[in-house]
Amino acid sequence: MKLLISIGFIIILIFVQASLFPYFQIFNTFPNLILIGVLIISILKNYKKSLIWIFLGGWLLDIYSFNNPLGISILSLLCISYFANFLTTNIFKKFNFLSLVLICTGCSLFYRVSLMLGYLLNTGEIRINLIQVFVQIIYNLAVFLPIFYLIRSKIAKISF
Amino acid sequence: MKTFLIKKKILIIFFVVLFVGLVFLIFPKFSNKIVNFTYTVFTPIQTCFQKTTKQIKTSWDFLNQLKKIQKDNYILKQKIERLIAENVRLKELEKENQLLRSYLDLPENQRFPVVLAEVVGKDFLGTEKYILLNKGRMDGMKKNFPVIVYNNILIGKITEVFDNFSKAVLVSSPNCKVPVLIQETRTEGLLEGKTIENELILNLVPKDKKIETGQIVITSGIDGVYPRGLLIGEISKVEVSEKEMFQKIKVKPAIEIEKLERVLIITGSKQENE
Repeated sequence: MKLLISIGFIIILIFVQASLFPYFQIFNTFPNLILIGVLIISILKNYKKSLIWIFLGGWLLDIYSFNNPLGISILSLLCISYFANFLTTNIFKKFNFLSLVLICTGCSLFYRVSLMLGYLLNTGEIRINLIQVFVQIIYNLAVFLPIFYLIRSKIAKISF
Repeated sequence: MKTFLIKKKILIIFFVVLFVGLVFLIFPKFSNKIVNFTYTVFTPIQTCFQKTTKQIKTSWDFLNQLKKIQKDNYILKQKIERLIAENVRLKELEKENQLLRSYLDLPENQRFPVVLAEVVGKDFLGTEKYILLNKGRMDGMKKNFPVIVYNNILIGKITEVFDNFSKAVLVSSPNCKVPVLIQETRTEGLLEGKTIENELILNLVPKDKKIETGQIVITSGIDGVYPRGLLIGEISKVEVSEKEMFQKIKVKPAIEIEKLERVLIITGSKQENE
């Protein structure tokens, strides 16, 4: 049952991202809710709990994105989840503002770099747009931080 | 064994994903089937979300911009009057053209066959400019078929075809390059999109050509992909630099490409063999 709820929630979230967020885009970028979801679960719970997010979310992100080789988002989110969980359990013992900013920034950057590598693999071209990368990181942070604090303070005990 | 599997869970998943990715890379036909199935399952959900959000946005915009709408309405009414007059003049010219063609024994201008398609998806990450259309291989779609609206405004071309769906790259994407000409001066150039802005860039126009803002850009048709004479937009900015060989020209698209719901696919042009 929990799994079905998670699947439904992921589908709603990803289609909200695809249909609502384009109206709020800056420099053709908008926040990646699946990445943010994976990060929050990995930090508050553990990476194993975020596997359904990684598989279903990553799969849909790849299929509905242009020039992404299938599986690149799943692999990237898997690494991000492990990395975020490792940092919170071994390096940042407390969830202070700075540690959260560092984790979210590092993971957003990692995701963009992996997409860039995927694009290179698919087309043989390298395309970097630093403004877009920067805006995406800020945008992800702006959505990640309030959601993270909200979940932690109010509904942290809800199992995903 | 069980403990080993639990302990190495993440490593096993990593290799499974890697293996599946490799299978998809090696057998693209297999991945095409799965992608087509996913689109079939999720497209109704996405269409529903898109329609709802669009309705909310339209209502919100309407309430917010009542004054602007009033002003726009006045300007548009004036524009319609001008266009009616121009339309009458063009109809006369068309009749004259038909008459002259019949005198010279020239064939009638061929209109291209088109297929109506719905936009059922957009890029989830927002970084690329492409649309997903609900017509695929089963409907006779092929790679490089041009995508238009209102019968003569070019918006892109098909880049990937699945059984029931196809992906089209928009002219506003850097992945799409269109040979064009400026209608008034017949100057040729190459049109490219930009990643961030929604304006298009017209390249390879020599400095000695006199280009002005407001001039119309149409497809030249020399690449054999796009038919000649499809409207793209009008020139919005011209910059001439002493240091550069070519002029820096910006083109404003004729319509808001990213907000389309229905498009037409020209099925009668040349396409790459898949």
